[in-house]
Amino acid sequence: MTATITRRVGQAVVTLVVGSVLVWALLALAPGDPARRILAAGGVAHPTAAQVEAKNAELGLTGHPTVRYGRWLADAVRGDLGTSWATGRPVAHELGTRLPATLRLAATAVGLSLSVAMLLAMAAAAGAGRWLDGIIRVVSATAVVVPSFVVGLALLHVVVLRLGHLRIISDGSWGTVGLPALTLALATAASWSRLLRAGLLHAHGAPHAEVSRARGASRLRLLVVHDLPGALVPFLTVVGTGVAALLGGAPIVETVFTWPGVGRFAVQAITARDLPVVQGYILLAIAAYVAVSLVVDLVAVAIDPRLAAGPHRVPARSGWWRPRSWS
Amino acid sequence: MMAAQLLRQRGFLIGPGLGLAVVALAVLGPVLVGVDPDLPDYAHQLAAPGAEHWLGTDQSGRDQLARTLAGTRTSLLAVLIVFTLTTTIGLVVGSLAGYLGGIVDAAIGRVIDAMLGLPSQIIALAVVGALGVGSTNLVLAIVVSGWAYPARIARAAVLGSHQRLDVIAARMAGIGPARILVGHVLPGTLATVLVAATTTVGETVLTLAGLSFLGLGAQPPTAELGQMLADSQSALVSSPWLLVGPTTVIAATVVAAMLVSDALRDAIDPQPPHRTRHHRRSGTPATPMPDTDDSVAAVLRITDLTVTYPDGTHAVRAVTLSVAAGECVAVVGESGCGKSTLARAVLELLPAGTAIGGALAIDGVDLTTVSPPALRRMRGRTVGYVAQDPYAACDPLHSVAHHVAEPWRNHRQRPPRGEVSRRVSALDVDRAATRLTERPHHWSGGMLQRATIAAAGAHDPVLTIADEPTSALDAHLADDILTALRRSCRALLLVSHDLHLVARHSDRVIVMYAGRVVETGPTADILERPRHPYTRALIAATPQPGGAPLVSLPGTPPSLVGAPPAGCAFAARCADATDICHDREPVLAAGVACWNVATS
Repeated sequence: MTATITRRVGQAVVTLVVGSVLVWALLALAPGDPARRILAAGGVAHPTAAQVEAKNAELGLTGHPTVRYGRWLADAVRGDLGTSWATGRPVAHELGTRLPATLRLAATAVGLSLSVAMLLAMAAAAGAGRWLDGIIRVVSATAVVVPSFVVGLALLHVVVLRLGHLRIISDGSWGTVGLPALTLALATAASWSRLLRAGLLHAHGAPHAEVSRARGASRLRLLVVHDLPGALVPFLTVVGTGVAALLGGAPIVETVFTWPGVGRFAVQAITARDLPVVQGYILLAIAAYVAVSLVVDLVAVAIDPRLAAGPHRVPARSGWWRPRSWS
Repeated sequence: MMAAQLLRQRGFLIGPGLGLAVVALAVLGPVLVGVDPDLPDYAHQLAAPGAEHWLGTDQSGRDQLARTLAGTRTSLLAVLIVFTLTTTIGLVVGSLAGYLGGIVDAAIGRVIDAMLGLPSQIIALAVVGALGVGSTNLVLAIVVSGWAYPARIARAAVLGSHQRLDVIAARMAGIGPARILVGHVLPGTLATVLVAATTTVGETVLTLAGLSFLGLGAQPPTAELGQMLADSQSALVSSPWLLVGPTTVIAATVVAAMLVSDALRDAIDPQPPHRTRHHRRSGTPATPMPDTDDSVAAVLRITDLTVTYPDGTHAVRAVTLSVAAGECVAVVGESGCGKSTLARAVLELLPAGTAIGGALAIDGVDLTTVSPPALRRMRGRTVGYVAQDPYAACDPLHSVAHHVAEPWRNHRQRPPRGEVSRRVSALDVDRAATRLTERPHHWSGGMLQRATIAAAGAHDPVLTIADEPTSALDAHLADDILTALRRSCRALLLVSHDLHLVARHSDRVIVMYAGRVVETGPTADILERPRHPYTRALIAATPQPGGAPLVSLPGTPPSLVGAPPAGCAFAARCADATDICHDREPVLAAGVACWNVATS
């Protein structure tokens, strides 16, 4: 157990390091001269070489790359992600004010997806091959292939605005989270329910399920007591990955509903080429993702100790079941 | 072979059909429509769909159909570039790592694992963030976020090929490493990687559309599906039809990609479809059953039982037997003779689609007249079951106590306080009370089998069925386990191939061959004075302490798929077979089904 935890934590650290190098390198290699950009933004259209030099020193862009990376990483670990070129405020502060809205959206969407997915998957697996299963499969397949921004646009512009049933002000509060969360949850619930259904049917084919039937277990009891726990561990990994990804915001749904979260903020920063914000956002998203994945893996090992023996597994990829990464 | 499998997949016909349709739209559509997708017409802004503009016009009066087709072309081209680049990079990097091995492989492997441990959408955003928006940068971003998956597959395939027989043979033949790589390793790797990469195409389509929607990809006026949808936002309240064209194309492309990839994967790694249908029961309900020789009331009576599996295997053919109260009847025979099928048929636990004929009665209740819920209530109460491998028989996620208590809980009861550990202790398990809270894999096989025996006997059933209860255990444990089993149950139907155990523990023996009963009688008679040549061969093939050298039976049992053999199923392996043995099937008379015995 200790060995598993050590190995998994080590893996997470390697992933984080690779991720941070990647983020730093990409933005360090970005085309354009940041010093000149900032000076131009500050009204100095034709800076002297000395001015550029001073600005570079201020931005920490001087010295050997390894030194610059070390300095950048040390600052980032202390929570200093630099200053936004667009607003002049600390990036950490900018992200921090938008994080609650993203967390509210993520929590609501995950809660909604999880309950819908469990319900659909159990109903489908209980009568696998029958009509209800067929309907659920068709509906979930549709929800998987239609992009979530189309669902969002249709909900917002056609149902809400055209029919005028609701008034939408997306201020990031709990009161307005419903529609964006629903949009986000539709695709997620669909792919999760397909995954869980397959897992339930797989668990149902285990030899011990037959022995339980021989002891008189009913279909429902078998589903709840044996199939569900058996299917839960791989399902949990997928849900955890989905949650981890959502902590980085849902750029598309946040943009459709003008939700004031970090995802929409990051897209605006990319368009405006506000590199420190982009860098800070990516680092935050990666750290959140790696941390949550680590916790999920350790929880999975705690539930099913046999996983400790095997190597770390990435969930199998399949066209239909894969969690949607884009939302 | 593979082509035939592909053709049988319905999805594989629909998938490429749909995919070809989308590609045709992208290639030919703009030519056929012949309207400039970028030509504004401010006199006809936001026109509704009609004869002139099939999908209407957008805010600038541009024909939406022409723009959708042009957008399809842009998007598909981008998807094609992403697919080609990710697959090529993945194949090269992964193969190099797997081929070179050592420190290079360790380093590349770590990077691949780290890339897969990072959220792909964030990587894509990082690349676009660094390079700036635009369709080329967006394609590059998706390639950077997507190369690791095919690389991982390629690396695993190349690493695995070191153990492949044809590669080893080529190395033995002195073929150089470069030629082995090109001639033997890469072709298989390429196929595996292509199939794996296909599964990501649907997601690539959605990713491209999503990022373009955010304005990170193709810039106006270039028509691109996601970007068109973003453009139409301000007009959607009055003109919702603007959603139709781009959405249809995106959804159709994703469906086509997924169907093709699923069909390809199924063709390479076929899995039985998950379908549960109740098995068919035909036969003779409520037939008054002829009394056999026993004077004691039979707890199990099987009459003319026939079991045919969905694949056409006639696993059990016209078997009649009975088990009297308190009796232990052993069913013996080599693997595949139908003895396990017989055991499962009694519990009605055969796979879906299995055809069952004949009659089964337990404790005087004709099972053909029993409804499925009532049958379920009999399982675990009237009939107990002990499986072969105790570890496979236990759910690894539940404690041992859970399994022993299951026969009560399955019937909405609660085991009496302390009853579970009392039952298990009674079967000579030490410290049962404390050990029961452990998971099955902490137990030894012998002890765990005792626990499942306790579970089978929970309700003191009139009949217990044990399917090879000791064959997964060490030989020296078998005798004690069977003693425990015999002690804890009333009547026992024991399926076994271990004649020593059968000799010590059973009252009667039924010998099965190729789905039929060939000989039956009291244990001592059968084992000491076997009459059927198959029984004699079976005994001769069993090790005897200090006995004669083993004589293994030559040949194999006949295939039971399709029509059963015309004559005696054993005739082909029988030294005494005569013409009649090959022509007519012997019937069971006076406990043996053999022409030579019957005529002598």
